[in-house]
Amino acid sequence: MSEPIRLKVNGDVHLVAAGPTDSLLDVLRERLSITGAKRGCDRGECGACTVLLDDLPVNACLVLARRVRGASVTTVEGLRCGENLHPLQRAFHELGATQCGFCTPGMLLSAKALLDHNFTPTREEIRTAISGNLCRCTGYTKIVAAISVAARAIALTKELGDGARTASSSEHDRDKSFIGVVGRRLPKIDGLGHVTGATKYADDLVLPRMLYAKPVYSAHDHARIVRVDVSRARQAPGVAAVITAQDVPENRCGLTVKDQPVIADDKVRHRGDVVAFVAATDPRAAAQAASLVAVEYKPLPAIFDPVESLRPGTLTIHEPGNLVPFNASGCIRIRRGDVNAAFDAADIVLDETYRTSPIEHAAMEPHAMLVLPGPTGSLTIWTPNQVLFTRAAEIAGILKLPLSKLRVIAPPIGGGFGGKNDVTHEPHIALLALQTGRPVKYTWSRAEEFIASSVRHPFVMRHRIGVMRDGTIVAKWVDTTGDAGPYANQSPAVLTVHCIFSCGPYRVPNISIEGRLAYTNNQIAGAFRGYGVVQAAFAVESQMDAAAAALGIGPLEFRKRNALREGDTSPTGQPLAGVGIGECLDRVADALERDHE
Amino acid sequence: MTDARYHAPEGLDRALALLDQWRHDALIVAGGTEAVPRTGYGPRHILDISGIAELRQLHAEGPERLRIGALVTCTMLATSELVHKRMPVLAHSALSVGGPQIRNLATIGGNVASRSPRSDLLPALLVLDAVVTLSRHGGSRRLRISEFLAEGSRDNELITLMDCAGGGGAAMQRLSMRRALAPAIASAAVLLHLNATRKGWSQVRIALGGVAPRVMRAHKAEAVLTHVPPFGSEFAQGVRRAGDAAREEANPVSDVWATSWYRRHVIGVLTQRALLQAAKAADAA
Repeated sequence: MSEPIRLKVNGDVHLVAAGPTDSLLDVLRERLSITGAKRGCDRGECGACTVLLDDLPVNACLVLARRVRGASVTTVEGLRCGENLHPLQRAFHELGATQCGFCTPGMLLSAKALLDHNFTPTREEIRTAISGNLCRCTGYTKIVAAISVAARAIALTKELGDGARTASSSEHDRDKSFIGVVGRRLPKIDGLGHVTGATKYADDLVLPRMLYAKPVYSAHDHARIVRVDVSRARQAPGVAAVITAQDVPENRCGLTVKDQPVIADDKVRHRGDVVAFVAATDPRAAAQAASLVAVEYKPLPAIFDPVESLRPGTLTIHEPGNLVPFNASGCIRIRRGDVNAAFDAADIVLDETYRTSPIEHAAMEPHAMLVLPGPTGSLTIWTPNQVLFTRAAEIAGILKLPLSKLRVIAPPIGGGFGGKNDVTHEPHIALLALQTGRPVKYTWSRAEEFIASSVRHPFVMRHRIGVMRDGTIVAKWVDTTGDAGPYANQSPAVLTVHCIFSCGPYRVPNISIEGRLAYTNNQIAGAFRGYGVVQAAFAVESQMDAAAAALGIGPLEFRKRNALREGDTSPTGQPLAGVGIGECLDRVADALERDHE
Repeated sequence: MTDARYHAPEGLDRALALLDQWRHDALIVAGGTEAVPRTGYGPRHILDISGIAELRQLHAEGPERLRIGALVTCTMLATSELVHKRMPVLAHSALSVGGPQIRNLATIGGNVASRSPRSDLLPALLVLDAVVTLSRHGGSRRLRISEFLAEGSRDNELITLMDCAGGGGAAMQRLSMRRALAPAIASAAVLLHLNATRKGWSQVRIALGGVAPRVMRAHKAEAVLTHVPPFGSEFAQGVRRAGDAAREEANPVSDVWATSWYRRHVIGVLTQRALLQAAKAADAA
């Protein structure tokens, strides 16, 4: 039951409807379209929704709108004084303290709360003030620097009066007119939008008559679907459409292996599989309707370990088996020289197995997508995707539409790290938009991010290294298995890079590398910065330390002795140019020495 | 799911009358940091007590005591001169809660009501031997915090006050994955009172967080230290043995933050550090 409340935001008084459980963030974003406060987690963990409530920073997602009563709310949109940026906004913009920009509004408001009563803060005080705001891109260094620069600017203005402000801004204008940009630090091209709240991310976009979507995800890790009954969901209040597998024109997708249903039909293979998708007039109605979709499952045993998955006799996730069939052999093999002879001749041979875990990208901005249907069956899709053109073609294939019918737009991305590299729910939202003839938006919850978005591949890597007493590596044998999750997705490409990098940046004359991918009922694995190299590096460098210790050589010295040099070839025979590992190690050694002094 | 109804009484009496009527059907919202994320689960009534001004008071009682209203926020605890002067361990503990935004909302009453083993305030409140006032429609009762932790409250009761005694020297040590927005893997609070001769202890209290289903007093570790003189190598040895005793008393679980083994190891270290810090404070008091 919504009731009108009086809400004072950035000096303006609004009379706005607020339900009993609506948060201040819900009302700001959904009712007032004040989108500067971002929804990063909706449970007070990230700080992206920070606003000032009577000058105190709070998480807008944790404040019931109705309790705000007479308090005054400040969002990032209220920071500017007329045409002038707040000193914090200017410092953030000019010093490059914004990257994706999604955490910036909250960060600015936490900083403002500090500088309002302390314009000579210590570094520690600044760090404490922003300790409730997570930034996934910058590492905080430039943010802390920008806050202290802004503090000095404020202190100077207070000391010298208004004259100081004029002087510094005219100096700024002169700076801007300087011709030539090469070798100079320039403000980020979209930085101004980030610091003022003008940047519109996908979830900030609103269209007239827009519907809100909600997925029904699998209730099991692995199960046969017996029946999907959407009749109650269709009759729920506010529901405009419910789609299931039979509504998808081409229900098998995949970059290299077409193994993934867009909406699960015969089986669910992990918790992130979509069984149905609902569109309704508001997010609560959509969630309510989604909970009314009745799915009957026949649960199957689930497999979570990639090595176990490939054992003979294991239950299959796909027919004919759990080895991802991305080529004829299902393997990547790299061979050079004669490893067996080299191991026989080696003074020391080490053999270890290393494992890595799945990792969620955890970008500050959850996935969000909006689809607007056009009059002639065309679609405009806003999706913060990192690989727009390839994905547009995939979406067109699923919808069986010519590419000319799609206009795919990537709004600013609030952090990707490879996690916004896949086609996710764009086809579902597009189908809902086509069925209803209305714009449809879907924004993932943080929990849904963990369930249904891709993760970094877990790998099980057996590495064998052969070394001579003088510290020379003579052979490397690698047997590596990647956990693709239930669908191949980008796994073959990740595996290829992983294998090529399985000797690290070191000279190895005799090589045998074999890698494969296993289907499991874990999350889908996908792109993540480093693209398979990080896992290989963990195994390679761990074994380099072990080998150095076995030889009694320092770990740095051992690496320098074996570092690739100009003109060497990669394990796949590629001649290498611009090899920097030797110099890199030297510089690290110098820096370490300086640190000790 | 029917929509919840929202009530924000401004007087305590009215709030207690409503609670008496709805009992478990009401979701009580004070700071909201725990309750608001739970509103999606469909409570029938939302009882927002955040506007009850009389519960937002913090008073001195006599020369050493503090009377703290249930709606006093962690920020108020962390910045109040009175708290800093009389029981700095409580101010320090309050500063460990969440991040600044959480501390501006989160209340002492909500923190206590959670009875969470990860609470950042409960170890300090336990060594301060806080007394909790539970009010209900037409009455109230007072419970020592240890009793409250064991029993909890009834469904028509609201935590309204916390009475704490200062004095002696106290300290709290905690470990978490990062300094803000991360729950304590383990924490230890200690309160030490020197006796009149200043050559022995009149009071030794140790509380452990994160290593048992509830925040607990480490009675064995306390017993180890009680008869140890407050200085010299005997004291240093006593601190080590008390840390070992705390490890034995702890009953930690393994979860995403730490293994049981690691928590058990850490609680010994934290207990020892808190003891050394509290002894210094007791000496200065």
